[in-house]
Amino acid sequence: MRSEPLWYAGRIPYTNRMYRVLAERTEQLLDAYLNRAKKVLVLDLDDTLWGGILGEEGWENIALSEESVGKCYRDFQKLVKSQKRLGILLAINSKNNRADVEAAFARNPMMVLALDDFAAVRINWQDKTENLRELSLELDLGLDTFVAIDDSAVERERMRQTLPEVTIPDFPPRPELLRSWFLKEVVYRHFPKYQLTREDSAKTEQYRAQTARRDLRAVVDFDAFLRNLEIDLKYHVDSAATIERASQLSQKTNQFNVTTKRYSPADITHFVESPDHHVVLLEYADRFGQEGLVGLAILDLKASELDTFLLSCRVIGRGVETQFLSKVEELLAARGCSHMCAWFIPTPRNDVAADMFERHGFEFLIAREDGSRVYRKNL
Amino acid sequence: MKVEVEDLLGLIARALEVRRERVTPETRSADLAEWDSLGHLRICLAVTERYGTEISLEQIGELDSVTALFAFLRRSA
Repeated sequence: MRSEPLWYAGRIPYTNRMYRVLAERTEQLLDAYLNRAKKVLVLDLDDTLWGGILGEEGWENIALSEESVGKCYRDFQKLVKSQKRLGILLAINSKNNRADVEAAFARNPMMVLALDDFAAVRINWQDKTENLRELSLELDLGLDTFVAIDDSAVERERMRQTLPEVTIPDFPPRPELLRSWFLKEVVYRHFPKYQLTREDSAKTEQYRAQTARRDLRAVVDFDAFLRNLEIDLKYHVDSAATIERASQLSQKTNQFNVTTKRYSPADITHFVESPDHHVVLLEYADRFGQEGLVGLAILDLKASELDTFLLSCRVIGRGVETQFLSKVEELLAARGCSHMCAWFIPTPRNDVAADMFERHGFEFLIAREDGSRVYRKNL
Repeated sequence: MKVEVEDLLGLIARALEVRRERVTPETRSADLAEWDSLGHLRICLAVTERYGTEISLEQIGELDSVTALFAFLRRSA
């Protein structure tokens, strides 16, 4: 990998092969840095998480052990579990009887993963593409953030044709290749990690709490639902500790995002240090759990302008934006601003925030040719 | 590994990013503006990778023509 002659001839330390490896790794890190990584890993069960067909062989007889073929699957499960700890959401999409699967997870002693490790589960006999659509709705994440693993070439082809947004890697031909294939073709390629934030590791719990919250909403009226949540909001203004998360939110949030401006950690640092800007992070908790830092506002104090205002999709629909916006108004007023200007720049995905300013007493000023709209409110 | 002249000429053209026809068995580094000191190191890097032979520091200075490179690869193959 090192080349001494070339080092002395031209200060070139490595061979070409090494440079190719370096280029590939750099590209993966960049992808992670710009958050082009996927979010959800959807797994098939039979001949994927274990060897054999559960419905035919029974939970005692599937291949899952510390020896031979069974170890290939057990090692694969360990890797999958480690991805969950890194903040990847796991889901199941399998044609099986739900009771068989529950028995296998509960009773097979070699099982590494538990059903609880999965943020959403579809175990039934319907079309797998339909299941994927439902998983996307349930998790509130676009199909373009999904990577689906399935050992059946037929199922893969069907999913690829019907749902081209979903990433579906080929499957290794033999179980002993599962481990190295998963690392190389799935983890490094689709789930690169630049820096782990605390919100990442708690993600599965948060999505599960989300489901519990939804169940509550179904039975009571909306205001009562909100009161019942006992929402507790905290704000962090110009805090150096939240820079990484602020950048991550600006990069990843597509739905409740009025301007969809993407900022690197360096950009955010600039705003934090600038006397003419405030960077405000919103921290959310309720009786079901902590969501962590889920909202970002960037204020241009000189122009009295709202540069960025976004909420993670995890807290949309709970009236949080109203309180967050009041906090923003308060901060602007404290700096002597008599009014606030705000933009809504439409994208294919931020429709949920389209009426945000009308709903909060802003006056619509003009629409520009590109479809963006300007609003104003006196403070 | 058997070294083919055609193969070596293609490798040099790719390393220098010039059209294949501009590199002939008679080409010397002085004949091509692109074959400068950096271009020469790119050729050496590519040769090392393609044929798996390391070129010593002393040889790097001497292998300044297609003929010299070809002879070197023959010797070390």
